[in-house]
Amino acid sequence: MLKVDLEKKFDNFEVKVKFIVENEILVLFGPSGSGKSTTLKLIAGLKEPDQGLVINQGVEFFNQSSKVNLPINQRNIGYVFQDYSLFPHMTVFKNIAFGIEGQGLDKSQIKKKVEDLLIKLRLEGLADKYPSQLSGGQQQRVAIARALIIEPELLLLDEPFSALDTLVREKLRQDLLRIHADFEIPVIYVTHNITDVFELADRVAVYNQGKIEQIGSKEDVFYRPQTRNVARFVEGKNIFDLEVDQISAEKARLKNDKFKLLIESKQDLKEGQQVITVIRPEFIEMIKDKSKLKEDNMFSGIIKKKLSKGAITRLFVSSFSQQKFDFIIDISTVFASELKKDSEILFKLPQNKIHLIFK
Amino acid sequence: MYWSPIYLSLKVAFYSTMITAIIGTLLGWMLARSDFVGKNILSAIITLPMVLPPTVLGYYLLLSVGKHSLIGRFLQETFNISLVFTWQGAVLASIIVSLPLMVRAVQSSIENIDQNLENVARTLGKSELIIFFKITLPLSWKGIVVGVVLSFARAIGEFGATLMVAGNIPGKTQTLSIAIYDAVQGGNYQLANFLVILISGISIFSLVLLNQFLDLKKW
Repeated sequence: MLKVDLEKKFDNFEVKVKFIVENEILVLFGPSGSGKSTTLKLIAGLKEPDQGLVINQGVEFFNQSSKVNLPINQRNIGYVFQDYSLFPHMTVFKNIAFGIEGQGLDKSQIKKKVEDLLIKLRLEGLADKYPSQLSGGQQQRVAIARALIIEPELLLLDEPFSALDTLVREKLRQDLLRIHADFEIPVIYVTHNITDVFELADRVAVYNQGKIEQIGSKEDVFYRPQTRNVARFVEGKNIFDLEVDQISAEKARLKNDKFKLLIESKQDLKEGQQVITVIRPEFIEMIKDKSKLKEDNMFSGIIKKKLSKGAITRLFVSSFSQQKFDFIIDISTVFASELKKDSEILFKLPQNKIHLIFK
Repeated sequence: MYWSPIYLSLKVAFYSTMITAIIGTLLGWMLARSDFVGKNILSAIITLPMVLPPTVLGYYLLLSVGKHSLIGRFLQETFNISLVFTWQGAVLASIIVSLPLMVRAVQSSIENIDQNLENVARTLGKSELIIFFKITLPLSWKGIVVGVVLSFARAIGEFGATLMVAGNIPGKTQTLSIAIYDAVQGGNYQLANFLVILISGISIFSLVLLNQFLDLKKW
């Protein structure tokens, strides 16, 4: 278990974070410059915190109150950088072996350990190549192998796959999940790629301006964001400001100057209260039957733009404003071909999919 | 007579380059990688010989290692070494004038190394000493080679400071460039021509060799 409670001030920026990582993958997610990479550096000791503590598996890395600041080279961590940072003057074998050389292991032991990792990371046959002779994905796998050879008790990955194309990323994520299952250590993975979060995270910490806005399971973060920023970062897309108009036993009516919404009533809701609603684009349902338009949460709109994202097509729909769009709807691309730009569609915002954020 | 200044110059340049290479690499590394109070001042002092007239440098050296100076007396009494009017004095002068070239070359090539490479090595449990020898030094080899070649060339061509400290004693401290000056002053153009052609040849040869060497792609 890794325990982190840190503060660090920079000239015009401050990082202040607190979290615990069990033997799981915690993804630090958020916009560039929000302090994610800095957090890794503070944990690793590449930067020194002003305040707080870092304890990994019972070992104090840093503790301001007892003046502990363990040197980086005694922390036993694996650190993988975005640009791979392989030693250009060493072969793949030498790069990987670097961490266990000069520790009294004989050559055959080193060779065995390196070869095990070469196999685990699909690098067989590349031992004698130099980094410049490898593809980006291969280089990053070497970097991971190099970090793992010291059997680290914590693995830190700083946007490790961001320079790689989608297919390679996909494979590397699978590699990482497999490795995590083998090693059973806390892993912190920094990214601003939402697919990384979906596929890798056991838990997610959403960063904004040096602080964690929300930390929790990915379901919590994606479907129950606690702030407008989190809703934005996780691509909640349909985020509206509304006011509570009427409350009954089970339902509540919300309104703003453009439209009304009926939602399942929540405790603590008061009439006149300002709230934010979030409905993810994939939760909006397309409706064929025009007669239903009178019902609650039904809307019609004009398709202003169609954006194919592969299996999914994103529709930008205008219901109230002339120029801009008001709703974003994701539908299966299979059904998208019949929907033409500038045509009218009907859709429904299901009550149970509307998430509420209190201001 | 022809060969003595050549031999002496090579000897002086050899020793001075050896010492400059070691001190210069360490200083270059310090300036590139560590932060300490007075770093800018140290950097300025190291660079000073590039801007001061060689005679001024020579005069400083005379004052600091001469028979009446603290250092001079210490060297004389403990090791029975005198740096004034000896070839060792010429070595010292050469070190001082070539050091800035060595330091600059090494410093800039170390500054160009991605610091994350050193950081990775730290996370892998390596000491600063091992990182220096296994990562920093091999990755800055081009800068070191450039520094060594320039320092050697500078030492071979050194004139002013050497003349001040070591003097012009034929067979003892008369180096190549001083011998050329001496020959021209004495009207011995045959000797002057020979030495000038020789020194030009050596210079061109070493620069060509350096370029060839730098073109090598090692990895």
